[in-house]
Amino acid sequence: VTTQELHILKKDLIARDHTTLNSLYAENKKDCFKILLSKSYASLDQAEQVYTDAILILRQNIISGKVTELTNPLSYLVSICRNLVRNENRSQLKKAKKEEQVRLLFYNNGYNEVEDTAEKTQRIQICKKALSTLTERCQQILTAYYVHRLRMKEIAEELGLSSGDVAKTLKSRCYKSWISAVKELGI
Amino acid sequence: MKLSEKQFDLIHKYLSDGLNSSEKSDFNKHLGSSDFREELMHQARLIDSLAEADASLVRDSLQDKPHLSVVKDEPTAHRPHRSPHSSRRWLMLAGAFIFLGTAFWLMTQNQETQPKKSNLIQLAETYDTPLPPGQVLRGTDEQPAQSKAMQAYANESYEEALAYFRSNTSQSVLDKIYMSNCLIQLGRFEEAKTTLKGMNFQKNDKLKDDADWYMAIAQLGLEDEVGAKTILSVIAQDSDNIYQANAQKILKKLK
Repeated sequence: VTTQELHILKKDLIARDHTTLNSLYAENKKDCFKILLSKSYASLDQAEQVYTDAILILRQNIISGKVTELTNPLSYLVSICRNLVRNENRSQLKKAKKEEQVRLLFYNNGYNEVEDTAEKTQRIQICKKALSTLTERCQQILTAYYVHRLRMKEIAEELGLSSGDVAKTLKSRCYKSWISAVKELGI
Repeated sequence: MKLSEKQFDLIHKYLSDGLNSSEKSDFNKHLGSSDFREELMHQARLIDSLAEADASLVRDSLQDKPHLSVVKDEPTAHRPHRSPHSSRRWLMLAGAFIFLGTAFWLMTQNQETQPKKSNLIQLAETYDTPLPPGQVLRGTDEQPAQSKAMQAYANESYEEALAYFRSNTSQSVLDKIYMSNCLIQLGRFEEAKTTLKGMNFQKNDKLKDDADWYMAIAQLGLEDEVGAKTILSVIAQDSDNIYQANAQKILKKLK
């Protein structure tokens, strides 16, 4: 993947166009599994699990600009898979920063509620449904800001909006629509 | 209690790190209300879940839709949902079956014909603790590539660290040892071995101990038992070598 292609891929991913990512997924899956299994880096079950996670990490790293050069996607994916298996650390995909921020804020008020897993799983499902009810533009803006943590100016540039302020206004509207959709779905 | 528009905006801005000083003081006043606090925690959790919801949506798209069927020019929101054709489904099932069969065959083949192979790689993995990162030279323009390389190395971004180390035209012995560490962590043992070869050391240079140790790890990764044993035997006899105990342990396991 050339630097130019990587730049286009970054733009596509921010716009939630996963066509190239899907191609990378399909093209490297077989070889990646072959290496993981033949080198005993992972069992078949683990390979199934971590390969998709590795693709998601690659996506995140391209969007965040962490990957500036990708001469060999297969080797990159294998090394991510290997690290995931070895560390048994899939927490990279599970960020809980906002909750921790609010928990810290409430600390002095004696807030000590701990949420159970079932509740969390249900919330993720509802968030997913609510997200898919939004327009493509809203999905792009909300994920670019809250998931990939891009700045408003960068979001505007990548999504072809006239300025960071326009992106900010849109984000505000989209956020309201998303929260309303979540509430309508039952939380 | 339903929150007012203003309260909702304050929560939204707080969670987007966008409160100004007067809004901050308003926000703090509202924290006294349990409804406000409850809504704040609720929305914070929703934002945290957004990453997983998004990952789940992408995961679904990777697993359910064959990539060639994605129509790039059509906006996703208006893209009609297409149920997969039954013959395609059968083809995919057959493909998956063949793939799983091949993977299983490869796995059993590997176990049957090369019982020692995985053992050596496992040893390499068990003992390949990377060399601790050196001092990160923050804010200096003198050696930006080295500084970035070390930062990436400290963050375990070995591919990135390697690229920075390689971009440095005058690589020191230590740089090369760090490069070999990156390569070992990436499972590229042959390149690690090449990087470590032919380095010159001063007498009593402790870096030689590091270089020898990681060369032994690279040999293990390459399943070169004889080569690894030769280096490990030297390390195991050197009481000043910090890797002596580990070398002895590996040699014991290789017997």
